[in-house]
Amino acid sequence: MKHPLYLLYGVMLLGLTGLAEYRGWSLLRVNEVKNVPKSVRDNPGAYRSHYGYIPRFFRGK
Amino acid sequence: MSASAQVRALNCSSCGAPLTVRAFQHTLSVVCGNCLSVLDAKDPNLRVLQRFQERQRVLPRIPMGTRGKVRGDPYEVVGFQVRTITVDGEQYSWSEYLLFNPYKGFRYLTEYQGHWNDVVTLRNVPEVDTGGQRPRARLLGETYDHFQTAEAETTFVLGEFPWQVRVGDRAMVMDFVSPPRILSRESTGSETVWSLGEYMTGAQVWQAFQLPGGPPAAQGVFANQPSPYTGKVRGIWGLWGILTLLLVLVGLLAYTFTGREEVFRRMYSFSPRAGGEVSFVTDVFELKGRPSSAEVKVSTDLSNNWAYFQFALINADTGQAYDFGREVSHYFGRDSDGAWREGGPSDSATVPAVPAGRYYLRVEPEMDAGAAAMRYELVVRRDVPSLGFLFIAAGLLLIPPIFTTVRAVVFSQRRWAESDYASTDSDDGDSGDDD
Amino acid sequence: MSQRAANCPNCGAPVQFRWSSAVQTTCAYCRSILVRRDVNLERVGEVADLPPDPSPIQIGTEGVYRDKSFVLVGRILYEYEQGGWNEWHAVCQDGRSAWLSDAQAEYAVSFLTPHQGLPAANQVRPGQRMMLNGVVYEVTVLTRARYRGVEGELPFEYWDKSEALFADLRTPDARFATIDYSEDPPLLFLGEAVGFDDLRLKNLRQFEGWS
Repeated sequence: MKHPLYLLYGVMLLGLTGLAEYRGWSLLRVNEVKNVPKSVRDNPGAYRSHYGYIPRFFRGK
Repeated sequence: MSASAQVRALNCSSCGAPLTVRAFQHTLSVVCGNCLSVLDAKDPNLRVLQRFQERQRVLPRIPMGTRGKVRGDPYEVVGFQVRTITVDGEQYSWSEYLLFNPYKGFRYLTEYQGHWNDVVTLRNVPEVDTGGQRPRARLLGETYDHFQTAEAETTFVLGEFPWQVRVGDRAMVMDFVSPPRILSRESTGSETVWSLGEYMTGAQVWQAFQLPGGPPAAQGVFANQPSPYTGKVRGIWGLWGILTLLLVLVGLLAYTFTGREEVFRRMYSFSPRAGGEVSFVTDVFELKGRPSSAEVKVSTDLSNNWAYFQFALINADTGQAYDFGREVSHYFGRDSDGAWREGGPSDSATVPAVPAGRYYLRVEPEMDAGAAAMRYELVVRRDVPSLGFLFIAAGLLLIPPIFTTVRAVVFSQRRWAESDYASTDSDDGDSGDDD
Repeated sequence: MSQRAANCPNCGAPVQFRWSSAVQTTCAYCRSILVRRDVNLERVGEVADLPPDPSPIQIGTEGVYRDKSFVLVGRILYEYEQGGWNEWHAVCQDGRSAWLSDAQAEYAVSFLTPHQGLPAANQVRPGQRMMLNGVVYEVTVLTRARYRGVEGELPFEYWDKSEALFADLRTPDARFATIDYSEDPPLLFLGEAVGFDDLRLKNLRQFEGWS
């Protein structure tokens, strides 16, 4: 066994990759929000997004 | 039966200081430790072969008379010399310790910058092959590569020798290496002697001679110093191959066993010039099964324009929402180099680990205020594999073997930097195993 | 010829024979060279002071060659331009004579082998090849050596020889041969190079400070 550390490292990487694929992980930056009220379906404009990146060039408010 | 051979105690014929001859009848010349004159040990009057000369006294690291075990046999240090070569105007000196055992004969311990070698003279003459890029020597089935040729001058002597030694003696030395061994060919006008050395660390020498303190630290990489990476480079790349194959297998399994089920598809249009509320919600769709990914893909008909989509994937029952955004930009044209394109008309985002349930999308598109209307399609797929993680894992797997290879190559370059071949491409063709 | 003990005709000291077939020996006390003629010992000469010798081997040293033990009972010393060497007379278990050549810590064992058609002294050259007992040997060294002295028991009469030529021959697989031109026809010795450790030598010379 010439490279025990690399083997361990590789097996862990494979395991994590397999887990990621199974659990459906992704690299997308997502902000989770809880308890969004059902009223959003009637009034989508009232929903305020909590997502960071918005190219707000000339938005008011 | 002859009586026990005696160690001889004498007095220097030049300065009168006492001296001892330890190598019995082998010794031909002995150096007075006090005045540094070289005396003829076979002459009853100890005639002076070379007078005392003002020269800087060198202190041997292993004192004369010290005994140690080399290859299982006891040896005594009986002689010491310093030899110097001049390469490109620079002087390099190394030490040689003459070791003696009355039953086993002589051997040498050489030292240079903390690197040691156990050297014996050879009977058999190696074959030298001067054809090819660099000369090579062959002995007992092993091939040695030429490392350096230089003229060595004896610059300091101490103790006794089985030949008539003199400060200023010169010999042409050719070294060939096959780590951890080194073959040296020394020729003077009248004779040629070959010797074979094997690398020793300072720690091994200190252990063999039970010397106090610690050995001098080794600097740089020595000609025949064995590489710690021998075999490791091949081994780690072999393991990399196996691991990468397994990663491909993981990828194939991921692509085979993920559902990639399309759960929603609809066309929309957005006109930034029209006023009013731009955000809207889609119909509810179902995401089934274990918590897995949900991919939202937006395909547009953008032409030299951009659009930004603010998304929220909202669970209709629990109120759990996942906020994310996507920018789509598509620019193209022709210039002097031909057609060019930047971006693309579609993009997708994969929301991770979404539990099963009934969901809808809240969508808020945005474009330049005066832009033309855009038509786009939203497609949602459930349980989609991530190519990104596979690439990341493949990249991370590459790091250790690349790192090891670089270190092996650097070690080899440091070795050959000291050779006659330093300025040329130092990577020798047949050094597949580092070296 | 089996008398084991006798007295030196010169000084009367006891002379012991380790080997029953010894033809010549030396008296350890007066350095007379004694030759066995019938029942008596005849003094034929005197050995000069032998040069001090660094060899760890001495008369009485025992060893093993190819699973046969031997004991060293005599020697012939040679001198040449670059130094000297010893030819130790070894007597094996079975009474056979062999020679252990001892030169600058290089050792070889050889046996006198009758052979016809050896090249003459003025015809032999370094690098020359010849077939001896079915094996091809190459001449490695030609040495002009002088007899320097004898000690102990020898299987023939040998003293006060003048200079003689010796040809050393070797094969790639460590076989060794010597042609001794001190006699006519020349004598051939065939054998092999051996390592000091392989001979498992006992009763070696003592060196002060070394056990």
